[in-house]
Amino acid sequence: MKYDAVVIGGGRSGCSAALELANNGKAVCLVTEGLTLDSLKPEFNGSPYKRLASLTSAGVVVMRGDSVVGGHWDGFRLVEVFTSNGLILQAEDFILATGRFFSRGLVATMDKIYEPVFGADVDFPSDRSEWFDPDFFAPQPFESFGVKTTGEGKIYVGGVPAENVTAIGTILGENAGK
Amino acid sequence: MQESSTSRLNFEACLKCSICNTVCPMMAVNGSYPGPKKAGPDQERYRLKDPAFYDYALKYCLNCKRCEVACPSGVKVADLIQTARLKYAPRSSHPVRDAMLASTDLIGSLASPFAPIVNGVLPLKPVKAVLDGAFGISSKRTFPKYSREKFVTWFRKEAAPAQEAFGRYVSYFHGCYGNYNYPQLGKDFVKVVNAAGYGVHLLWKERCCGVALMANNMGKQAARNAAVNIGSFTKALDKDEAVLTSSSSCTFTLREEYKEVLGMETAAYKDKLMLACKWLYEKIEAGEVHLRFDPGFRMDLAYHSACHMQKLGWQDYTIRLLRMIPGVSLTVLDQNCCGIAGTFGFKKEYYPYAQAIGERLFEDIKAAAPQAVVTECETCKWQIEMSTGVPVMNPISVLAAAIMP
Amino acid sequence: MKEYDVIIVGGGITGACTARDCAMRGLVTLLIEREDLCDGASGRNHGLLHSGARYAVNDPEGARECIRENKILRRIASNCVESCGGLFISLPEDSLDYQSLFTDKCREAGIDARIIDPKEARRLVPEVNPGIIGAVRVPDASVDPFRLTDANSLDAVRHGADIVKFRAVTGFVKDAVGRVVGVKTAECEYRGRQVVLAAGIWAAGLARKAGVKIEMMPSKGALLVFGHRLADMVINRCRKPSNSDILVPDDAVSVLGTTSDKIPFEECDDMRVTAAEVDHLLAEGVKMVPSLATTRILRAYAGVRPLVSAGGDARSASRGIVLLDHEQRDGVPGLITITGGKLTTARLMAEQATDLVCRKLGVDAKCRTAEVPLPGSEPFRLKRGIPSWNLAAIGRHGSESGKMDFMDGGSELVCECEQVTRAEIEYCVRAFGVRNLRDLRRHTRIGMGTCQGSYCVDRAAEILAELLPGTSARELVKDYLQERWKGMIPVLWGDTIREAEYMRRRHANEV
Repeated sequence: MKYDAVVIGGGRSGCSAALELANNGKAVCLVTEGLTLDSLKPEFNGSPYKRLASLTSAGVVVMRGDSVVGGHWDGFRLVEVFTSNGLILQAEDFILATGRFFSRGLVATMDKIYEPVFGADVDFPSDRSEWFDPDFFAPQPFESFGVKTTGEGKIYVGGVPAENVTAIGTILGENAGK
Repeated sequence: MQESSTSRLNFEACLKCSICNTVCPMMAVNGSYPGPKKAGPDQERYRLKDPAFYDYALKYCLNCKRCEVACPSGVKVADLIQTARLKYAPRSSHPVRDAMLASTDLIGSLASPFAPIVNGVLPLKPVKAVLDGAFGISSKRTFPKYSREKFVTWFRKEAAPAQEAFGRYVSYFHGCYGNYNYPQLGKDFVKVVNAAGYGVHLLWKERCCGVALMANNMGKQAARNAAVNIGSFTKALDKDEAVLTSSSSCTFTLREEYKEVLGMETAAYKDKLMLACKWLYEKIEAGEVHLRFDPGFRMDLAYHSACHMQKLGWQDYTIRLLRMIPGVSLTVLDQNCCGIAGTFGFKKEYYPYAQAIGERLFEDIKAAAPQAVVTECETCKWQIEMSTGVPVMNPISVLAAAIMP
Repeated sequence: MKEYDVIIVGGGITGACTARDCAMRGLVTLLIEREDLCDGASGRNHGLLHSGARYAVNDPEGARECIRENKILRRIASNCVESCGGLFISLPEDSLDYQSLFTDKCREAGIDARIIDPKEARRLVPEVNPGIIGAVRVPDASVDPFRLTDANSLDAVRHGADIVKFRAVTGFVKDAVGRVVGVKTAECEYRGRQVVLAAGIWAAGLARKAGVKIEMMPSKGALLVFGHRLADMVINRCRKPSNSDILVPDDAVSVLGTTSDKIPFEECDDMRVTAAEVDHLLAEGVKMVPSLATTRILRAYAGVRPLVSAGGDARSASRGIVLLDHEQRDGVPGLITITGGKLTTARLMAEQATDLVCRKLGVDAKCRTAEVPLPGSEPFRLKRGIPSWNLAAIGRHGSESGKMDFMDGGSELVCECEQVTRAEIEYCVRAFGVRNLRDLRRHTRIGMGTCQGSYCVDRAAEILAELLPGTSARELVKDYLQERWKGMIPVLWGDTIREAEYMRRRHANEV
C-alpha cells in the first residue's frame, strides 16, 4: 500500500508526527506493535485507544498490533517496509519512533545495544557495567543511549546516513536535540 | 548467549504493564474474570509448576485477541489462555451443547437437507425453551438460518464448468457458514473473483477451520480438521495462485491458531492464504486487476472490524476497497467488540455478558444508522442483526452488488 | 531480668533450628538476630535439599548426613519441600567412569541413585542437553529456606522461646572467672547460661569479641534466577563438584548456581554479583540446559558460605558441620559455636549443638525435632469456596494457612506474579513481625517474580503501611526497589532492561 509517510511506533512522538503530517494533507500510515505506557495515563481517561482513534479521525491509517520487521532499500533510500501481518508499505518518508527498550525500539543483549528494524547505528559504551547506576533513583545511563542522527535527524546505517528515514522521540536518547 | 529471550508463546516477555487488561471486553463486564494478564502470562508460570493452579474462570475468555493487539511486548496472551484451556479445563457442564455448537460442519450437513423444517422449528418458543432448559442454549438468541442447498452443491452444478475458461485460478475456503447457512456469500465470491479475471476452485477437501472446536476445548478434533485443511492448501497451491477466504475468524484460525495453539506447521501456505479483500486490493494496486463498478450503485455503509480482523491487521484493505466504489458512503465504526465471540454468546450462562459487551457497538451502529453494516465475521453478523436490526453484509457481497453487471 | 538457659546468636536456618530444638527440650531459650530471620546465607542459596549425591565421592560422611536429613525434612517440613527429584547428567566431555564411581559411592552412603537411559532423562526433563551420554536419578529436592526458617522459628516460639530481631549483638557479658554469661546489644544485655553462636560467617567476628579465634574463610557463591521453571527436577553435572553445575526449580523460577570464590570479610555484608560471574555461570549452565541461553534472567544474587579453614581453596574446604566447644578449645566457658554445614543439615547441626548445650547445663532431654512435624506441615483440609489464586499462599504456608482470612477482601491479589494475596500479607505481618517489604518478601515471595515489584509494589506498600502504623508507603517502596535493583543490574539486558525502564517510569521518574 502506498502512502506519503509511514510512521513506525505509536507512542507520543509517533502519534504527534503522524497527526501533523495528516493535518498537512499527507497520506500517513502509522504502525504500532502495541499500546504504549503513556496511553495508560489519566489524561487518556482510561481509554488507551483514544489517542489512536483521534489519529484515525484525522485520516491516519493506524495498523495496531503489527510491527515493521524490515525494509527494502534502493541504495540509501528506503523504498518499502514489511510488517509481521504481511503488509508491504511504500512511502516517500519513513519516521522511526519506536522508543527505547520498553517498546523495543532498542534491544540490549549481554554485549551490545542495537536498533532492530533497520540496524541503525547506536551510541553505547561496550562495557555493560557502564549501562547502569547502582542507585535505582539516580539518572540511569541506559536511558540516554540512542540512535545516531544527522543534523536533519536522519538515521545512520553502517555509518552512512539514510536519505528518507528520520528518527524522533526517545529512541534518540541523549542525541535528541543535537 | 542471551541474544534473545524465547519462551512458549513469549510469556516471559510480559513486563506486567497490564495494558492488556485495559482493553479486555470481558474484564469490563465480569468481575469474576481475572483478566488477560493474570489468566495468561501470570498464571502460566504457576501452571508450569502444578496444573492445580488452573483457574476455572479462564472459561470467560472470548479469545478476541484484543490483549495481543494491545500488548507492547509481543506476548501471545490469548493463545496462552487458549492452550491452557485445551490442556487443563475440566469437563464442560454442557458437553452435548458444546459439541453441537462447536461441530459446525457436522450440524450443518445434518440440518441443510431439512433446512425449511429446521428454520421453521428453531425459532418456536417451546423448542427454544427445550434448548434453553435441557442444553443451555440461550432462548433469547436468534439462530442463523440453514440453507436448503449447500454452496458446494450449487457451485458444482452451476459454476464449476464456467471456471475452466479462466486460465488463472484461486482456491476458495468457503467456511461452514458460507456452505450451510448463507451460500449467497459463496456465489458473490465467485462473481467478484470471476470479474477480476480469475477462476475459482474448491479445495480438495475442506473441513471446518476449528475455531469453535478450540473454543469448546475440543482440541483433538480441531487438529484432525487442521491436518485435512493443511493438506488441501498444499495441494491447491500447486496450481492456484492463492487460497482465498471470506471469513475473518476462519482466516485467522488457519493462519495463526493452527501454529500457535495446535502446534502445526503453517509456513507452506501462510503467505498465500488470505481474505479475498486483501488479495483483491493488492491486485488492483499492482494494476493486475480492474473492477468496474455500476455508477448507479448507492449505499450508505458502516464498517465494523471484527476482533479477529483487527488481529489480522487487514481492515485497511477492506476499507480502501469499499471506498473505491463510487456510490458508497462509508463510516468506519470505533473498534468495539460485539460480544458474541463465536459460540460463546449462544450459551445461556454467557448470554448476558455477550450483550453487555456489545452494547457500545450497538449504540454506535444505531447512531450511524447505515443501510447496512459491513464486516467479515459471520458471528458478528448474527449478533449485530439480532441486537440492532440493521442488516449486515460481508464486503464481498457489497462488491458483488456494486460490480457492473 | 529474664535469665535464659540458652541464647542463640544468629537467626539463619541453623539458629532457628537450634532455637526450636532447645525450646522443645524445655530450655528457656532466646534467639537474637541483627536483621530479619534468614537475611544472611540462609536466604541466599539454591534452595536445594541435597540427597547427598553431590558429596558422595569426596565426603561420604556429609553424604550420609544429607540423605538422612533429606528424608526427615520431606516428612516434617512438607510445605517447605518439593520432592521433585534430581538428575546427575554426564555430557560428552564428562567421563562415564566418574558416573560409575559416583553411583557406587551413592549406594554406599545409602542414597538411592539409579542410572537411567539418557532417553528417559530427556523425557523427564525435555530441556536437558540432548547430547547427554549418561544420567543418574537421585532423590534431590527443592526446599524453600525462608519457609523452613519460618517454620522452625514459629515452633520455637510455640515451645516458649523468645525471638529478638533487628538487634545486633555487640559483645559478651562475662563473669569474674571469664565465663560467658550473656550478650550485649546497643540497647540492653541479655543473660544466659550458655551462648551459642550460629551466625554463619559472622561467627568469626563475634567470637573475637569473646576472645576466641575461629579461622574462617568466606566463600562467595553467586546465583542466577531464571524467569520460570525450565525443568521439573534438579539438574546436576555428574563430575567432580565444580562451578555453575546445579539448576534447581524453586517455586515458579529456576535458580542456577553457583560460583565459589574466596572473598575478604569486608565484602560479606554487601555482596554484588560481577559481570564475570554472570558470564561464567551462563557459559557453564547452558551446557546442561541449552535453553538457559534464551531464557529471561530476572536477577543475580550471592550468598557467603561459612567455611572453616583447612587451607587450600574454597571448593576443597570441608563443608562438614563444625561444632566448637570454646570451654574445652579456648578455655572460654559458656560459649559454643555451630557453623559449617549446609541448609540440608541444619536440623542435625542444631541437634548436635543442643546436645552439647544440654550436657553443659546438665539437662537430660532427648531431641525430638526429627519426629515432630513443623508448623505448616500438619495434615489439613482446604476450606471450601476459597478462590483459586489463593492456592499459592496456601501451598507456601501449608496448614498454617488456616490462620489466613480469605474473606472480606482477603483474597485480593497484591503480587500478581507470585500470587500473594492480602490475607497472606496480613497473616505474615501478624506471625513474623515484618518492618518493610524486604522482610515481607522472605515470608511471602512478594516481588520475587517476573516484574520484581514494578507493578505491585505500590499496592503492597499501601497495605503494609496500613498495618504498620508510622511507616510511609513511599519510603517502603523506595527501600524495596533499591534492593530489587541490586539484583537486576548484573543482568540488565533483554527483557530485564525493558522491565527496568518500566520500573523507572513508574517509580523513579514521577512528575
